[in-house]
Order: sequence, then C-alpha cells, then structure tokens
Amino acid sequence: MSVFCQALRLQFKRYQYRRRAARALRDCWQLSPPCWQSPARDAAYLAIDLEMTSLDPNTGEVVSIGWVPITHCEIDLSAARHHLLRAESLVGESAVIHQLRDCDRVDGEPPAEVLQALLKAASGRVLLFHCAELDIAFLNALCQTHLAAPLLLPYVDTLQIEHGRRERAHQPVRNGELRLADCREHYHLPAYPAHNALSDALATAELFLAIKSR
Amino acid sequence: MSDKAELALVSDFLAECLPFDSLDPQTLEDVARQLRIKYVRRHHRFSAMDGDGLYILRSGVVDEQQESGLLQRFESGESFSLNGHSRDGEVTQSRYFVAIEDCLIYRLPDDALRSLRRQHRHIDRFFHARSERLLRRAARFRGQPSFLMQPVTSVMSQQPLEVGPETSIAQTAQAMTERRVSSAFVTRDETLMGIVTDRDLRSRVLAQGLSPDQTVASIMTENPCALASDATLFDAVLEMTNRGVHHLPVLDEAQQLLGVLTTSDVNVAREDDPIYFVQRVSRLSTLTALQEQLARLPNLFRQWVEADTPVTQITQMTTAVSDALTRRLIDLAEQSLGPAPCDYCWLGFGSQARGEQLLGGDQDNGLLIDNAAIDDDMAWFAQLADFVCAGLNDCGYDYCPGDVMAKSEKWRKRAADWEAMVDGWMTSPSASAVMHISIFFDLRAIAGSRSLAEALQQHMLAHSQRNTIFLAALAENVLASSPPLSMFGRFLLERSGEHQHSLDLKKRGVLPVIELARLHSLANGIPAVNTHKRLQALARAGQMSLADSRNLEDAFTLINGIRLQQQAAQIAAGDEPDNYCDPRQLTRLQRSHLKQAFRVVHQAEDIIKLRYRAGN
Repeated sequence: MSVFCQALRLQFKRYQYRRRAARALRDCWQLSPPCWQSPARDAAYLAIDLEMTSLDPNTGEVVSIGWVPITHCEIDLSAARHHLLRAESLVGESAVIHQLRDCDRVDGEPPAEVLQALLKAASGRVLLFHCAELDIAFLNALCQTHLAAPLLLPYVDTLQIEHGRRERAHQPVRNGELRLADCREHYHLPAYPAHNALSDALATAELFLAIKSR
Repeated sequence: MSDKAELALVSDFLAECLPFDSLDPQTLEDVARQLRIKYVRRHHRFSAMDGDGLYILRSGVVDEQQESGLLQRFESGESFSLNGHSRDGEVTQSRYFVAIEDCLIYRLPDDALRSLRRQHRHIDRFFHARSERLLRRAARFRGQPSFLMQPVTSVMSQQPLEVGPETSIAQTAQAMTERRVSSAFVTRDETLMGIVTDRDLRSRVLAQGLSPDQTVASIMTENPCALASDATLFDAVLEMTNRGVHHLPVLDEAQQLLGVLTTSDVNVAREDDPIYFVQRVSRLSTLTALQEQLARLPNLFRQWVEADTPVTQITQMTTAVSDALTRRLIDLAEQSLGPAPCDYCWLGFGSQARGEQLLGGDQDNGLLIDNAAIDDDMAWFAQLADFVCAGLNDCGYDYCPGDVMAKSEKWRKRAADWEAMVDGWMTSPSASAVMHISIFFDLRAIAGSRSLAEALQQHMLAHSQRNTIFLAALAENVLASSPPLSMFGRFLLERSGEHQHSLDLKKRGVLPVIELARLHSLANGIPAVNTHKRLQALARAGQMSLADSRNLEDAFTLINGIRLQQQAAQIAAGDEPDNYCDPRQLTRLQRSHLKQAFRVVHQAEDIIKLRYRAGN
C-alpha cells in the first residue's frame, strides 16, 4: 500500500470514528505527523513489539508490549519501556515461547493504562514494526475494546521496506527469509535473544537505522 | 510496571566493557538507560560534529586517523570520544574516525558521562589517565612515517617461481610445492606473460576437471596487474583490495620480473605487532639489519605498556624477541662457521630463562656441549660464542659485567664439566658460588639440543633438594635483598650513589620474589623456571598456601608493572631505561599498592627464616 493510500485510509477511518473514539486517542491523532508523504529524514519514530498468546487477534491476548523511540536518527534508551499486561484469560501454550508465567500476568498492569502510556509515547511519532500486520491487528483490537476505535496511526514496517529493497535489487526473497534476526545479520547487527517485547522493539529500531543508512 | 533488568541486553554488554565492568548491576542499568544508539555504515567518516559524549562500540570496527595515518583501532567493547583529548578543551581538528565495518554504537552523552565520573572515582581516573595516554600517543605518532609508506621492494619475496608457457599444469604444481610458494609466474624471454596461483589450480583445473597435462598458459591469468619497483606498500594494499587479488608481481623499468608481493608479506611488514616483529627478526640476514630492527624494540615496548598490555604478556614478548635474536645469530654463525662438530645447547640464564625480560638487561648465557666433543672441537664453539655474544651486545643486550656469557671459557663447557662445577658450588657454597647458582639455576634451552639442558637441570635439582647447607646459604642470600620498607612502613631509599633517594625496583622489588620462588622450588625439586609457574607449582604441591602463592604472584606482577611504566616513561623522555624510581613521582595509588606488595614479600620471607635458615 502506498504512503498516500495509507494516509487516505487513515484520514477516512479517523473521520468515521471521530465521535466515538476516546479523547486520548483523538489527541494522539491530532499530533500525529502529516502522513501524506514518506516521513522526513529525521522524523521521530517509535519502534514497538508485542508478544501475544496466539496469532489470532479474535482469540489471543497481548501479553506484553515493549517500545523504544528514535529521535534524530538515534535510539533513545531513556524512553525505552516494557509493560506486562494483566491477563484477561490464561496464558496457554505461548507462555513457553515468551517465558512468561501466569503468575507474572497476574502482576501485570491493566491494558487500558498501558494503552494510555503507549499513546503518550507515540504522539508525534511514526510507529515502527517488523512485520506490522499482526501487531497492528492486536493493537487495533485492544484500542477497540478500551478506546472505542482502532489505533489509526501511521506506521512503517521494516519487513516491507527490506522486501521492497530486495525486489528492486532483483534479489529473490524466499519464504521466511526476512525474519528479524536474518535481516539484522544482513546488516551486520549483533544477534539478540528473541521473544522479549522490548528487546525485539530495540532490535527492530536498530534494523531500521541500518536500513536507513543505505 | 517496569521490570528491573529491562535493558539486560544492553547492561550485560556494558558489564564486559572497561571501565563499566566495575559497576554494580543497578548502576549499569541506570547507565544503559542514558544511552543513545547509532548505526554507522562501513566507510562512513565521522568527527566531533556527530555528537558529544563517549562512544562505546557495540559491534563493528572503527579506526581513528589523522593525515599521517592510523592512530588506533577500536573494536567491539572499546570506547572513544569524538572531541579532542587535549586538556584545555581545544578540539583537535585533524583527527577523524572511520567505520571499517558496519558499526552499532552506544553513545553516552557528555552530561551523563560527567555525572558518572563525579559519582565513581575509579571511572573518573580511568578516563583521566586515558586522555593523557591518548594525548601522548597522538603526539608521538605525528609525522612518523606509516609502515605503508615503505617501498614494496623492501618487503617483497625475491626470486619468484618462473615457468615457461609450455610447462604442464602438473609440473607447475610440483614446482610450487617444492618451492613452498602459492603462485608461479609464466614468463617468455624474461617477459611476464601471466600468473597462476593456488586458487587457479583449484578453480580452473580441479573444479573444471581439466587435465593436468595441459599447458600452464591455458589456465594462467594473462597480463596480471603488477606493481612498479618504486611503488609503496600503500599502493600495493590498495591494488590488492580493489582487485581482490592476493599476489602482485613487481616489475622493473624494463618490465622484467623482480619479485612478488603477497598479502602475508604485507602483514609481516606491520611493525607494531609482536608476532611480526619476532618473525622479522628471524628473517633478517645481516647484523646491521638486526641492529636496526632491535632499535625499534623500545618504542614498541612503550606502545605495549601504553596499550595496557598485561605485564606477563609484555615480559613474555620481550623475551620472545631476545630468543629469536639469539637463534638468528646462531644461524648466521653456523652459516659462516659450518655445521657444529657435535650436539650442543645454547643456554639462557636469569630473566631470559624465566621469560621475564624487560629492557636494558645484560646478557646472561652459556654453552652446554655434548661430552663427545674433543678438544679440537672446542675452538668452533669459542668462535660461535664470540660471534653470538658480540651480536647480542651490538643489538642492545650489553655484555654481562660479571662475565656470565658463553664467550667466557668458564661458561662454555662440556656437560660433565658443568655437573662437576655445580657440585663444587653446592658442597662449598661461598658467596660467589651462591650468586652464580642464583643465575645458573634459572636456565632454559634457547637453541640446540634441549635434552642436554634438561639433563643438567635434573642433575642440579636432584643434588640441591636435600642439601641443607646449600639451601641455608641460599636463604641467607634471599634475606639479604629484602624489600625496602622500614619498620614504620616507609620506603627505604638508596642512601648513596647516582640513584640516591630512589627505589631500585629490580634489586629490592622483583628479585626478592624471584629468589623466594627459586629457593622454594629448589628445595622441593620443582623444575619450572618462570616465577609465576614456580609459585603456582608450589601451591599445587602443597608447599605454599594458595593465598600466599597468589599474593606473591600479585605482588610480583604489580612491582613489575610499575617497573614497566617507569621504563616506558623513560623511553618517552629519551632516557635509557633503568630500574630506579622516585617514590615521590608515583601516584598515591601506586605508592600504596607498592607498599602492600613489599609487605607481602616481607611476610613470605619470615617463612623462609623459619624453614631454611640454620640455627634460627
């Protein structure tokens, strides 16, 4: 989807939800950077990663969210955050992957509060994901429940960027080849342990800086 | 909710970097929280404009350069700052940084760094000491020609393998194997037609299933890129990297083949690396060339000290250099004298034997000759010893004032005569005998037949172990050179002579430890010679407590470390390195460390009084 189409779609949806959406979300839309063209060179970004209990936003829940901002082409660790969300159901199988136990999730924060913090961190920034589709779907579901509207913020996706870059360079992309760790290796970034929302967000942010340096 | 070790990914890494390794986990997490992360692409050049603070390299390689060449290289875990290091706050404009690989960099902004330095004194000291070191380093490198500026003709291998174009591939390969070279040049009437390398044999012959009976001309690279005889190493490296080749022929004006330059030749030309330094010593073929090479040792030594190379590694490297020089001189002597008439072993004594050499030491050596030698053979060994000792003297290892050298007849004997002499010393341990023994018992085979030296050492150990009179005499000697601390814990300084008011770190500092370790080793039949190895062996054998052994090792390393720093400073000031130091010139920390070290030695000496001294 072109930048222009994404922007058009966002504006249209925001218009649809303008009365229903919670105040915090509408404020965030107000401050969101103009999205009619590609972000400026030193635009502000917020790299985000979610860990969930399943791959289906209708049945799964968000377990944890991590984010870290990029300002003036630098990642700012002072604003890096990691939040565990209180369970609305039991964790199930994926707890094994994310090393989170049910008892951790009882200590978690109410999702609505985490969402408020996220909106605050995201205001004025373009969101950044690696493989955005799934994370966006879960964030939309979460917002829909607590803020009465989908997130509707502009975002970029390092997986899509890298995919496009390779296609333009006529390098065939095999299935599953653009996983975060593989992309990082391509740009000589160090290997990180995966499946912690904050370290994945950080890994995505670093990958984004690397891609932008080309 | 915020998890405590959220940024473990970052703080765990910091925990392995100097000087952050000393911080507790909570402080590390706080430091991690203040970091910014940058990505710098390969070849990108950056300078003070790109942001203040301390740059910590998470991954990749960065070179600090100025017009005259490379200042230093940083690798993962090392840190640097972009603004100049001069104390008056003036930014050194001529320096810049280049990413040699794609780099991920953590930046600790200036204000965060400042507050960290305020809160942690040792971190402040680290950066303070480092900035002075960097300043000195920058000053020293200015104007000094880089190794890359030397002509290729001084490094290339001469007499490259030449074959005619009709030679078969198999014959070429055989010739390359015989000559142990990785490339061959195809020439007709001395004009270069092409080059064949190991890689060509693999990719153009084996991989293609080509018959080895074909002519070499069919697989050669025609008209290979070549260097003119006046090209510099810099040109060569540029050509190699640009074209991705490892072999470059060097041609004279008439386009005739002079030699070949390979990537490993380029490596050997790097002078700052101890391995290459040693390799080069063992390749040089004239005394003048060896002398010139050894004249570079003091500066190299200084670089090692300033780069915070561990003390034991530095002494190991300086010893490796003198070993290589001795072996090379022996080779050269044998080339002119003809082969040895019988087996022999060149012995190194004292610090060379222990692998603990610093700069400015004398030579202590001897020749151990097989019992089979007849009297006429001895003349050959006298000539060998004269040549080698004179060569060592010319290269900076002065003649031993006590004449403990192979060129003196007393230290050049057949094995049986050596044994008789050692037995004599041990049955009547006079003062001079004890001194001789303390030199002689630290012996190591430098060149020739190792088994001769081992047999002699076994003989000595077997006889000394139960000889209480001898051990008592040796203990007396150890106690005579006690460390210079008064009863009130003050330094006792030399009272007279040229070095009045200074500490002799060798005689009063390291020698007591060496002698302690030697005495205990002799008493317990431990064959190790290196002081650290002796102390470790003593602890393993249960003859010294682990704590005592470790303490003595630490004391030894510390005193030697201060000695090294003194010598490096003397070299920097253009003085001859010696072993004296003025305690007032030491930092408070160094002084208290030194006193601590001396105390450890004192305590260890008390044990000796009880154990070996007769009638105490």
